[in-house]
Amino acid sequence: MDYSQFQHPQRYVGNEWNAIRKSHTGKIPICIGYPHLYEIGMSNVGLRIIYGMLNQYRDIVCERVFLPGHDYAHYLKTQRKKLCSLETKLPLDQFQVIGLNLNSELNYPNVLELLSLGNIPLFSRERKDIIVTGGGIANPEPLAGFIDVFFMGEFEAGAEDFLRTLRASPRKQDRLRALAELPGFYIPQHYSSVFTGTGYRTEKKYPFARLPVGKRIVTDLNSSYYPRKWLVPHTSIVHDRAQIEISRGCPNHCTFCQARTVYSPYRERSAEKVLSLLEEIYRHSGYENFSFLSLSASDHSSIEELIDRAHSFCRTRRIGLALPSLRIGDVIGRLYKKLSALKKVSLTVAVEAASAQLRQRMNKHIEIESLFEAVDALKSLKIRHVKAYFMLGIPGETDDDIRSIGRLIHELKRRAGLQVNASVNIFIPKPFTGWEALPMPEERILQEKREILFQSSRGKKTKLSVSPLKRSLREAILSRGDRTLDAVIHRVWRTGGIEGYPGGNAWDHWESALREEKIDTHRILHRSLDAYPWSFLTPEAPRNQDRCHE
Amino acid sequence: MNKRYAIPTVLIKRGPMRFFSQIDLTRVIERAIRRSELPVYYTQGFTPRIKMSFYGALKVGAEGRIPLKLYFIERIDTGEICARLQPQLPAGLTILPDSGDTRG
Ligand code: SF4
Repeated sequence: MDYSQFQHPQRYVGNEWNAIRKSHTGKIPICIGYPHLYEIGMSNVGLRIIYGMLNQYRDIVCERVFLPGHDYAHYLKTQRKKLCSLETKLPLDQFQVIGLNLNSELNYPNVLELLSLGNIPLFSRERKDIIVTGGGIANPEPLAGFIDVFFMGEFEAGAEDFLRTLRASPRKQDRLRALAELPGFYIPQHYSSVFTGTGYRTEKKYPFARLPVGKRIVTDLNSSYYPRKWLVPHTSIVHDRAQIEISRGCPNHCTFCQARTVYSPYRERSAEKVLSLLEEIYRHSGYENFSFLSLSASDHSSIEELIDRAHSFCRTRRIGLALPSLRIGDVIGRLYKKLSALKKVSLTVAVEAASAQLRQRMNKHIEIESLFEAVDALKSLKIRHVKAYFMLGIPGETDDDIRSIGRLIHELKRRAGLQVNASVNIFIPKPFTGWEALPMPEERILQEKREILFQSSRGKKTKLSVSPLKRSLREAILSRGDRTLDAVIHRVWRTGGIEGYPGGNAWDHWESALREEKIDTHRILHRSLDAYPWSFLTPEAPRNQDRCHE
Repeated sequence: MNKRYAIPTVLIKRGPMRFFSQIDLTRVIERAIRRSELPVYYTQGFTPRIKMSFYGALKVGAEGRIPLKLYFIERIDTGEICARLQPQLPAGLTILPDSGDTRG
């Protein structure tokens, strides 16, 4: 096919270095995908882990698919052609399992677009043989009607069970029935969820269903699978580097944070292991850029050794090495000497709130003031600008707290000579966080808060980006929603509300779908309930496995 | 400054690789050289890069041949360089010694 009639034809070729092509004879075909464009999907590490791991099995063939660009999607629809996998160009409906990694709630309508382009019935009840699995999100309820199996936790730890079930029977219903008895496989059709007036009640519909569903986790990162034959795209992608996960989970307990619960408990990969991955991945990929992946790299118990040894490996080979965000105190304190050896150090700080009081309430311990005392250190690290993350709309936030964001940015510029690129996110009371039961501020109030923020930082030559209100609302509704949202997602998909497509993220799609389906957004966003749609799930690993951070 | 030896080659782009741009090709060659562990020459300065010079470009979608000069810090036979690079290239790219008659 001549892909050059489409924008970014490279997306569709599927000939990446280390891509795996197998014959399908006698094998169970699985297609894994990410419901967004190639450049975004290929940056996802979880997908690479699953791809490499599944292809290790002789009787499994695992291929990939991503959402095509809108021009290609249009071509498929008008020519009545089906979306195919990248490796062997097999139509999606020829696979036995479609596995989707869903990192963002905003991509829900994209899931439907992807399935529909592949000629796969959208609703779970309409599909005869194909199993659609999902993973990577905390509250799967809004997708309950579409997905057959949600995998809870880390697929490395459940893959064997999953494959055994596939081998045992070719029939979808047998497979679901067998999976239902295993921990970590949530099969929405086996449960009912009702709103009782004061909260949600989730019950088993069949005695064999598990409640709680459970979660699978890798106990030892050193022995768990990690891809060595790194898939290298021949064109640029969003995170254009090989990423090595140095730890999973986070030992800190920031109140608003969902990631720490979903990826709990905190585990580390040893320096020895990380270094051997670095060498092997480099040998197999020739990638000129590497980065470490971690929610909180500063907490890694051998971070100094890691930086030292990785740097000496990378320097002789002219490989760029990027570190994830480190605590300010560490950058200018114990890690300063190590970092000054690196060519480029970028400083990203999740400040979250400019006022110390608010940070206290969030259980976020960072040392902003130390930035001012470390001007020399910052200069020699050649740090000229800092990327800072803030949150707006936090419970208990005063107007003055908001203004202090502007003041802090200004001070950093004046006293430390730092250009600040501030990125402000609207607070969303995410499921499984310490603040899940707090109401999200009303839209009108958030609008006022945004105004105050913009006014207080006006004329300060600051790069300030604030997440658009409607986008945050959409994310909040989808992350906190219940099963009735499937009709909304379906409507939005039908009217073209696809993320990444022209006009796809317009609020209009959502506004009319929410209205037509008579969704009570007040209940989703602002009401405190005795149980939420997601409350029956248990993603939190026992707390005693976590290390507390000083 | 390191001594460098220019090696004239010609790159043939065909099949699936025709959908990749000249910038993509630079990346592909750079990574192939890195995997081959050939003693390549890096540009000096703050951000060293593998030096290579394409003579001309092909449109995305077009097949064809492009003269390409590579640089190494040791004197190595052009044939050997191509022989070591070829297994590191994706299907659709062929690298050959440039006999000299491809460039005007
Ligand atoms: S440091 Fe805080 S915000 Fe970051 S991952 Fe850990 S708990 Fe979450």
